[in-house]
Amino acid sequence: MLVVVSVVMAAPVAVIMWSITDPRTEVWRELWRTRLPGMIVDTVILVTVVVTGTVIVGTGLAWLVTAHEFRGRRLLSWLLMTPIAIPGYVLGFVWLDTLQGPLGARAVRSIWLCAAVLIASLYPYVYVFAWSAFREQSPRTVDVARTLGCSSFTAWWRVVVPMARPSIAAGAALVAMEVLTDVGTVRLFNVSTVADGVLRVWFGTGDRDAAAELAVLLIAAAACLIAVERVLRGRARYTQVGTRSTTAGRPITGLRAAVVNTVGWGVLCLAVVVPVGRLVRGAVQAQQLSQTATISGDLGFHIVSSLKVAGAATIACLVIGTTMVFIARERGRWGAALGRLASLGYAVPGPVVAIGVVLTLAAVDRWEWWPGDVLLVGSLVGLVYAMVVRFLAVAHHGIGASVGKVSPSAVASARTLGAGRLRVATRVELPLARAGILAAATLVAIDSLKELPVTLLLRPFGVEPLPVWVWQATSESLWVQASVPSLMIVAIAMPLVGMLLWSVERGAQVVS
Amino acid sequence: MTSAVRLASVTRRIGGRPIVDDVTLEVREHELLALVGPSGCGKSTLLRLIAGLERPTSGTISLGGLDVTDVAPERRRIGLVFQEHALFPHMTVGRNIAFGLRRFDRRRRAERIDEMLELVRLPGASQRYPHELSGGEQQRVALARALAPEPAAVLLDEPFANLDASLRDELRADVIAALRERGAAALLVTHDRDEALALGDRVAIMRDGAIVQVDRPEVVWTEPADEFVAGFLGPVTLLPTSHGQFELVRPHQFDLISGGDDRVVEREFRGAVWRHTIIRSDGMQLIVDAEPGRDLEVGAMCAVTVRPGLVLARLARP
Repeated sequence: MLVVVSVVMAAPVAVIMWSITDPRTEVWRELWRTRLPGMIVDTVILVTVVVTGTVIVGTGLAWLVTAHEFRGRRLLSWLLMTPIAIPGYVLGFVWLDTLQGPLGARAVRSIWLCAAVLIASLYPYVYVFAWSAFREQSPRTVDVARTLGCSSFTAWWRVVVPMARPSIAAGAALVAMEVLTDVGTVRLFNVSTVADGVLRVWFGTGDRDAAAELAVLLIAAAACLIAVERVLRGRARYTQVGTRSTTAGRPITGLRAAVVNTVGWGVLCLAVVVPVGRLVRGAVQAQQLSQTATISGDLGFHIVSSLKVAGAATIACLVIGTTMVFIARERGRWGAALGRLASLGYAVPGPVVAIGVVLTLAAVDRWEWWPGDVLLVGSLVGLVYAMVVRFLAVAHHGIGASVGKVSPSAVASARTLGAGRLRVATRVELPLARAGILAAATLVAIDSLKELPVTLLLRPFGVEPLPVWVWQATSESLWVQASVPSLMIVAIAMPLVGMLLWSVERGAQVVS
Repeated sequence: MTSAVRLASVTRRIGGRPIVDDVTLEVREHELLALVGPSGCGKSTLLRLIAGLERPTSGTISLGGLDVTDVAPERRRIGLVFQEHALFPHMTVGRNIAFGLRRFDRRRRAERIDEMLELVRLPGASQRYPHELSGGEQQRVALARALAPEPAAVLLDEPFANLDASLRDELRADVIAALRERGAAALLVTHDRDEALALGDRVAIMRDGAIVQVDRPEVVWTEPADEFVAGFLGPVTLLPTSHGQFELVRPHQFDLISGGDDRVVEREFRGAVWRHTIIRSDGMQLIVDAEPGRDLEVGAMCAVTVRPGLVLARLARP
């Protein structure tokens, strides 16, 4: 069964890779002559700037809220994660609309502003990884560094950050992956990246094979990223034994506290408060102008579409992920290898997964395995399948890490008390890993709610999730109209972020 | 003679509750002072106060005659060794040891690393990573790291608590030897009374945030300040004397004879001796050791006498 799941999950990626074996040289030659060099340069610039920016912002903020103690610290440390609820393409059009006046319509569409928007929307990935890494560190280590001649900042720089390096690198790798795959935000700012090129080839020429070949570039880039992240881990091992006491931050008051608060709340304003405020205003305006004309004319329909897709993807990821974690453990090395195979989709950009799924399902459809005219391409099954391929790794890692933390002696006790494997799993391990499973579920739900390229390419007829509406409105620069669905996405995602924070507070492992 | 560490009326309150309560204490030059007390008595907080990781609510702390009460930890020249070694896991052993040697040039730093590894009997380990070492080796590195910058005093917080017994004795001897060789003043915090008595030049006993007694181990043993100190250092029976005072009798100072009014209610084999719990006819409970062959079964009637000709401990403050 594990083999079947892994093969099904890896199939779309394999199909894409296969396409490169029969390259269409004329398409490549044309691309190379015209747009490809520019796309590669833009992609490299964007990834570099955004990764650097998110590492600085995310790590810096995590330090501010873990190394210090001040009034409102807890609230701030939670709120700083909320930008996860706002998709980059939403943040992008809000700032575009806001800055268009003062900067002018041309100047505002720059790669640098695009990078700034992506930093504001993606820094939480680095922040959450750095934050939990800092909290896991034994405070003793900093104490020793202090007595050996380090000031509080030097101790942070020489000891705390290097020890958190693997976590920060993991967060940065996630950010880089998101930037590589982003199509919504870059399109807004007229930045043509490789992912954008894939979409343009797909929609512009309708040449699926050419799009698939271009997508191989993205897979190669993603593979490089993962390799770099592995190398950064190096030989040193970073887990620490010893009591994990809640690190008491240094109490700060007066000017210092004011500076820290200004920085924290300032970032929040730029990334959450102002955008959400603008969205609310836009939504109100849309109501007044009765411009809520949706694609179908019914707001509820879009919300239901979104919930249906995100819900189905989340449940599927949870069930498959949990099953895989338990089966893989029984199978040892083989199980682990198959688990990695099934998680391949996460290292592959959204548009690529979408194309792979279309090609795979088209092949299956050609079989005519099902009586009648039912086709998988363009069905809800196809869309959910693609979402699962894309996000299964999130669920798998999260659940695996949380189940792995269950003490072996608890399992041994249960076994000696006469519980079978299944009973141990359902009565001991899963309840103990509850927080982690909840965290994994909310992450998958948020991701699939925001996911644009997969939804755009695979949405079946009659299903119009919110991101598609946003996309259609923003491609025609109808900012006011885009406000309503954007606000809906944020409104659905915010409680999910709340649940995520709640479960992290209860010891869920988001860092694998 | 100046003292390496001197605390004068140091109090540390958290939320109004005194964790360290009016402590006056000194660690002399080249001395190893063992600070012992039950868990949660404030030992570790006292140590953190000396290191500067916490600030006292009142009182002054001086190192080598200089008042450092308001000095940041990085300027105090204190070495610190924790129970959980707290080595920097991302650095090799050599870089761990060199961490406090930033002012040294490259050559002197390399020399000092080698010298320190020699001192803690881990020569050639400089390129290894902490996770590649055993628990005892990690603790040796932690000591080397603390000693490398030649601190004014070394503070050791339960450094041997996480190690198994066989390893502990060997490491203990080596650590003491290394401290003596460097002539460093050291404060050893422990909850293990045997460790405190065996290693300390002097022993300080702490209870509920206050120092109850400070003296040489043999004095603390024979003239404990009060009943708490006497009981903390080992099982003891307090026998009232005719003068309204008490004699302190340790289990090995009794003679156990079969037949009599007292009764054995419990016993436990401890290798060299059997330890008996005996209820006397007047209801008093005694703890009595007897060598195998002289031991009695549970339920046996017996008589207990204090072995004649012994110098018995007395409470210094009855």
